[in-house]
Amino acid sequence: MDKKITVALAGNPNTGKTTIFNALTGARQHVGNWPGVTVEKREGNREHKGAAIHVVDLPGVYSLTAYSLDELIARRFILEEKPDLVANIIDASNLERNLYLTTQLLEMGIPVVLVLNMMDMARSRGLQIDPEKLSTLLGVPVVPCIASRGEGIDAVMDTIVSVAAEHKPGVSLNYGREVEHAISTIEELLQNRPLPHKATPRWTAIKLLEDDEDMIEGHDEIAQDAAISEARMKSLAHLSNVYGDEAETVIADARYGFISGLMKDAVRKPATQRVSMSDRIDRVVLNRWLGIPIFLAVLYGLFQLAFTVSIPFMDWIDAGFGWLAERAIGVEGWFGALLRDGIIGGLGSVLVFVPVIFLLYIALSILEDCGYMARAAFVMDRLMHKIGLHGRSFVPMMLGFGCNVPAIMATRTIENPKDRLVTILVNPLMSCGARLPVYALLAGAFFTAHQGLVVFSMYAIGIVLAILLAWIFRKRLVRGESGHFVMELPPYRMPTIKGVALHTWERGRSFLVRAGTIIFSIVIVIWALDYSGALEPIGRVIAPIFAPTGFGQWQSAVTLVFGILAKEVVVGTFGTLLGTGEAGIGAALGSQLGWTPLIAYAFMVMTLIYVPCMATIAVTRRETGSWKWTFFMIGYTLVLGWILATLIFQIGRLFGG
Amino acid sequence: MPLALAHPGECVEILRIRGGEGFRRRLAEMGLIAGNRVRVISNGRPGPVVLETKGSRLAIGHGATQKIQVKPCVQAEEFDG
Repeated sequence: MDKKITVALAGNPNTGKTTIFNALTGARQHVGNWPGVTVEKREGNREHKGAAIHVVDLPGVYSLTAYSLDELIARRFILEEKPDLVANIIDASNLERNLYLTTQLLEMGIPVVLVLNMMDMARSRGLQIDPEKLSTLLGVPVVPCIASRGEGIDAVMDTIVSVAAEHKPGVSLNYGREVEHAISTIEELLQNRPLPHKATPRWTAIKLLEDDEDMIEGHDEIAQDAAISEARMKSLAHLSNVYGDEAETVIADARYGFISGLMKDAVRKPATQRVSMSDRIDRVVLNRWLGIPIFLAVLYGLFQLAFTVSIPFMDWIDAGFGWLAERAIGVEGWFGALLRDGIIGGLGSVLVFVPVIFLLYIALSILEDCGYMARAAFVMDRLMHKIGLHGRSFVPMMLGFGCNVPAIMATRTIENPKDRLVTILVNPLMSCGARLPVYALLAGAFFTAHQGLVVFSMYAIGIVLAILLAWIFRKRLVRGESGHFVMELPPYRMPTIKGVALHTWERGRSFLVRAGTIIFSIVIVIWALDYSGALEPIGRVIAPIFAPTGFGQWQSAVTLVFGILAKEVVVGTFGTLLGTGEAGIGAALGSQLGWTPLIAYAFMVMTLIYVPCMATIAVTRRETGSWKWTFFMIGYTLVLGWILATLIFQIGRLFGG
Repeated sequence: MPLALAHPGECVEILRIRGGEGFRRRLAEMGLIAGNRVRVISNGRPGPVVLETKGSRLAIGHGATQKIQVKPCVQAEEFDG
């Protein structure tokens, strides 16, 4: 016997590995233990075409990580004993999962023979596998067989002998430019030094990037080496920056990507898979690429719906106040003025928006009750991770569309105090229901054709700014590890009328109560101040600050100041100051203040961003327990709002807006 | 194998969960602890895995699916649901 060949059998559990081992070795088997452990080690011998083949059966494993004893045994044997080749036994009917181990064997740079066992099972499941194509793509011989019937065993043996003679490893997986760069940087540092388990530098580098437990904790001489450790940390930080995921995940993804490429090219699958309705929906709405566009589309559709449906209701309320206004014409003196300008102009213009606010709340309640809200949070998780928060922060942000006060209270579920603080600080950027009247009024008056789009853009600007600022704040306020996202998904269900009504009422009630109490009183105070001529001087002092934004009129300045008390008041104040009801405000803004669509848009952006309302400020103080952060919030929103409004007005003017 | 490799419809037993204390505790609160069996509902690889445990549905984020080591249940019908 001149040639001696050692072949290791590797494969997932239940792939018929033992059957193949028996078929290869016959009676000449030896059963012992792997050194130091009580895991069974089976070896056997046979002769084939003049070669003495020594077969070692490795434990059945799904991968070659450091996280189970079996996997450690398997990979140490391959690295340290350097068999001539590994016969990778694969359950052909379960090809995709089995190939994961194959990718890891290829990584080790050892010659591999792929044994496609259970071809009969694969066929009966309708899988059509092209072994030659698979062989070309993997760069290793592929031998189909049915070990239970002894079919193909001779071919397996022939291939083992020929592969051992050639000793050529298969393809080397490419992990993408960034990861490959990290690998080669570390690989270079590993050259010419003894490596654990006699591994190759490339394999060791990959394991270091994967945070492999055995490599990091088991081999101090490598992991603690100053140069290597530094290169590793730098690469890990860089990769997680670029991909927004840990290197380990990025590397695993490259393997999955490689496998799905193989499956597409070399396998034809029957397209029949029964899935439930709910799963089918989830597959689409939770999809990595479609998830966020779908979420935005849902949000947009919702606003369009709320606006379209609310128009007739708003007209009715408007007509009601119009009727009142006619009755009020005859009333003399200050009481007539209060009735006309204060109540009808001020309160009336706020109340007109009750339908659109309620419709928006109905839509939000439906989204919540049908189970989509939790999915939206999940979908946003990836994005939130990139800014250093996680999906849990997204729920309070969604709630902010209703009202920022309960939204800020909802941040209590966030465990990490820094995550929580950042989530609170950016929450006012989520457009609450109270800001909607301002958008609706101005969009309706100045952007008749694109009303829905303009209002939607306010919400979108808010979301984008919130995300951007959260990212900046998170970088400035100590960075920390943000956890992995796990979230319970409530089952999809048909929202009930009762449930939606209840949730809508919970949200909407406070708006009505506020309109009836706070807003009503503020409007009257404003009217009184205006009637006595006290407002104009105040407004004239502040107005110059807003000159660069286009809304530097004293009336605009006054509305912004009173808007801090409650954002709905902005509309009411205009109503009072311009002496007109909701329907007339737009025209009056144009004729009395000289507003253009551009100024209206800049003013909407200002209203979105500048200083949160009193209630939000109070709840921020209470929840953060800090005046410092409360004032920080007031300060940054004011400055940011002013800057953006100025930019919009000045740049817009350059383009002739 | 990592949870990322599990098939839809498959029952898997959780072997080990890697990661920080907080992450493991959160998973434990939702019934994901070593030894428990769960049913995989869908696998959006690369993307979330949705699974069923104790009668509720959990979505496990992309990164986390790599941190949860599982093995197929011996008998596919059994799971702690």
